[in-house]
Amino acid sequence: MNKFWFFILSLAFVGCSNTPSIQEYYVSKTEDPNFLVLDIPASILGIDNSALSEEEQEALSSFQKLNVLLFRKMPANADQLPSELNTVRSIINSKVFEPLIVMSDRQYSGKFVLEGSVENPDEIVFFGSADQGFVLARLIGRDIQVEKAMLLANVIQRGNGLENAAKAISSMF
Amino acid sequence: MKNKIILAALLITSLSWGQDIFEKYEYDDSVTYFSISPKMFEMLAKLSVETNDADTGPFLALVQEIKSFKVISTESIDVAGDIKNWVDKHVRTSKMEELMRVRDEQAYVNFYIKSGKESDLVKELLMFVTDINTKQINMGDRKPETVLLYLSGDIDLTQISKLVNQMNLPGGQQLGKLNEK
Repeated sequence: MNKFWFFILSLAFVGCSNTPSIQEYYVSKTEDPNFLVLDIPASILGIDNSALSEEEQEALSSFQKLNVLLFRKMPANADQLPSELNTVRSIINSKVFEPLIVMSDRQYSGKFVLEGSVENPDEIVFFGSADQGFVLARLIGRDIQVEKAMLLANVIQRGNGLENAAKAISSMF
Repeated sequence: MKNKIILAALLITSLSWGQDIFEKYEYDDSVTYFSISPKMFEMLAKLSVETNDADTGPFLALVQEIKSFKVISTESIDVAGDIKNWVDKHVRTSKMEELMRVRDEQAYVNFYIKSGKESDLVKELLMFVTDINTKQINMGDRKPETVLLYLSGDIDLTQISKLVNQMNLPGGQQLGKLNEK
């Protein structure tokens, strides 16, 4: 019974909120020509799974993808920027996310936030804005274990993951 | 029950920090703001479990002891005045002690601390820098009027300047003066 009410309550809560979830926002902007949307899967790192230990494989598979949303300010869409910024700020500042690092200045601002617990984050989001536009990047995973992050960093380094990724991205353009 | 206590504690801290100068100017254009939240330090502490790297080891050990780190700097004289008022008030209300004052050709630096259980460790540290001679301090095209740095946790003063220097953050140079004491 309790669970049922909790369910109803959470439905009502979701129904009432005006702020879209970060996922909803992403989806709504994929068709918008003013936005550049990049879905970068973990496979872009080009790491050979068979060369890894079981533990390393686990760490790698917990990292699923990186979603990047880019808004570039141009004369034609400059009017749109303030309202988009407002929406994104209200998403990022919502209770769902815990701030990790916040920086801001006259020309730019950047914020790293976390969804989920410190031990097992579901998602780490970076939101950066400047006069030229803004970027929203989401690192999405499954069962990410922070303790394993260093392991993952080693794996990526050893397998030249960043170089592979850079090559793959530059070949897209 | 445990959750309730945590919730209550969070509520109290957020209330008492309601007038926090850092929060006030977080989105202000005339202020450069940088903060690392307790969550981030928690996460860094988790990372250190798995590292055996000689370079990052001591660094992470130090980081584990910090709970929160915030810096603001401003070029605006109005904001600088507001920051000074907040510092005076905060030092009084939280019963912080003046650790030292340094005046040289570069700047006027005040350090305030709240001592912890052991004499080597402090719970809170405020570094307040004014009268900055911009010719001496290179911050690009910035001419900061005032810099305020806040740290909380169980902080070993002798270690902290190393950390700030390593991260190349504003105020690191001044914080280094703690070691000259």
